[in-house]
Amino acid sequence: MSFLEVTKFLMEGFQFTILLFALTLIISLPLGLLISFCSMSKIKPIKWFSKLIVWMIRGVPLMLQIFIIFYVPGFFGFNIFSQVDRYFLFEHDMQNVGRFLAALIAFSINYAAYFSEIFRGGIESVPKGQYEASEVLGMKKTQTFFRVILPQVGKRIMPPMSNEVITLVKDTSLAKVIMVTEVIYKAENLLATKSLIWPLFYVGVFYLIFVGGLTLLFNYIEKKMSYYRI
Amino acid sequence: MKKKLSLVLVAMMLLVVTVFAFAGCKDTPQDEAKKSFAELYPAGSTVVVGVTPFDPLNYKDDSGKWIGYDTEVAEAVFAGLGLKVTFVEIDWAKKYIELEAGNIDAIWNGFTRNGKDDGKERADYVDFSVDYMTNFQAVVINKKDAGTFTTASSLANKIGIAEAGSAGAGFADTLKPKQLVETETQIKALTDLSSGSADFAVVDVLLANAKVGTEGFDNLQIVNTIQGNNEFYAIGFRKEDPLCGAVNQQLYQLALDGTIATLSAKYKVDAIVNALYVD
Repeated sequence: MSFLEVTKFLMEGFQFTILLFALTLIISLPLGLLISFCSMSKIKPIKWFSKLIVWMIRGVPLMLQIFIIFYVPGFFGFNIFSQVDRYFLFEHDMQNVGRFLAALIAFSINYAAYFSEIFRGGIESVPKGQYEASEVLGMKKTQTFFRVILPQVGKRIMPPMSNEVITLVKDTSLAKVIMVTEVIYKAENLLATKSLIWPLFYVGVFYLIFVGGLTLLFNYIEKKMSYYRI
Repeated sequence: MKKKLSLVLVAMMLLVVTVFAFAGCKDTPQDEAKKSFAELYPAGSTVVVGVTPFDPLNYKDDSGKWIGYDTEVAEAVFAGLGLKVTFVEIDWAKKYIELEAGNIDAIWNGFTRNGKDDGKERADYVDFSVDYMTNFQAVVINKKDAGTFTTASSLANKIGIAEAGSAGAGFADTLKPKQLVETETQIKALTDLSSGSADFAVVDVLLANAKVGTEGFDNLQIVNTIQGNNEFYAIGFRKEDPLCGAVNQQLYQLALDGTIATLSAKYKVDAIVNALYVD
């Protein structure tokens, strides 16, 4: 296979890598914020439950969570992801939709747990005086949070957030354990079927370029936010 | 009379042995450029065998020790050659690279000789020993589908699953599935099938016999009416490695002294071990 053919073959996989990355972010960011609210809740049972969930999700390897979400329903006789897979395969000629969905759910829950702790750290780091000042100014609680607190949180959490987001780009390769055809699965497939090893190293370039773009984006965002002086 | 007959038989057997001992691999090169067997493998040195867990040929017992038919035969062969042996787990897809790099000295793991990789005969990549076992690809399905999947054509347009790059994947492809899911290992293909994510799996009959019906796979069954072509298992060595010839000769010694028969019965593979040895 020529360099161009291999690149094209790998790109077929890389589109799933990017899709999994983007969808995971879209789902896990709001979900993470929700979990962080629960973790800071004044109602004790909600707080404990939320902390328990975060502990369980952060305490178990992501690879294992992917396995559990994909295989466990099947062993109880109803493989929901297999049904989705079959529906899209036979009705719409699309492969691996169910497998992708299982991976997306596992990634979203896992990253929401990590994000929730980053959000919590960011929110709790805003001095109490700002809440008091907003109250004096007659702002409602929601107004205070969205107009005063959240913009500052955004700036504070940007460095840990960019770390986590970059980790997510590379973690998407774990989806290959349930045969989601992301880019490393594709490269390993070339090795297994064509005995080509260099595509496996070449894949690194794809990740480097993508993470390079993200880094530039984060630098830009941080610069934009620098006017919130705290 | 009986004695005479058995003498003739032994003579014939020895003749076959000497002819076949060098059939798989080229005669040990004797020119100065090539190192001799004794130079490459001095007595007491260690030979590294690359394996993947493959029940019942190579697998680990409860204490973590490698056992299995191939494992025990390899141990007996190298003991006979005055060498030590260790088994290392390799990624099956990277087997040629590992061998070429010298990380392993032999691929002894139910390695199908009569297959192709990337359009090239496997014998172009490695030197093969004699064929010691005959395997075929078996189709495994969920028990609930037993009434539906009885012929090869009934599997067309279904979801198949097999190990990427394996002989099973090649055979599964000829059954024209709607989608062929490719896994890292054969066991994973069976796990996926058992969870209902695929309609049929194609694996080695050896593995199918060992796994189907056991814990975790008790909802599966083998389809006896569909069968892939015969595959001949042989041991792969680096090109022109004199180890190949030495192992071949040792294998015949073990066939003659009955070790092969004992071990194949022990691991219940006597039905597919090539008769060349056991007779």
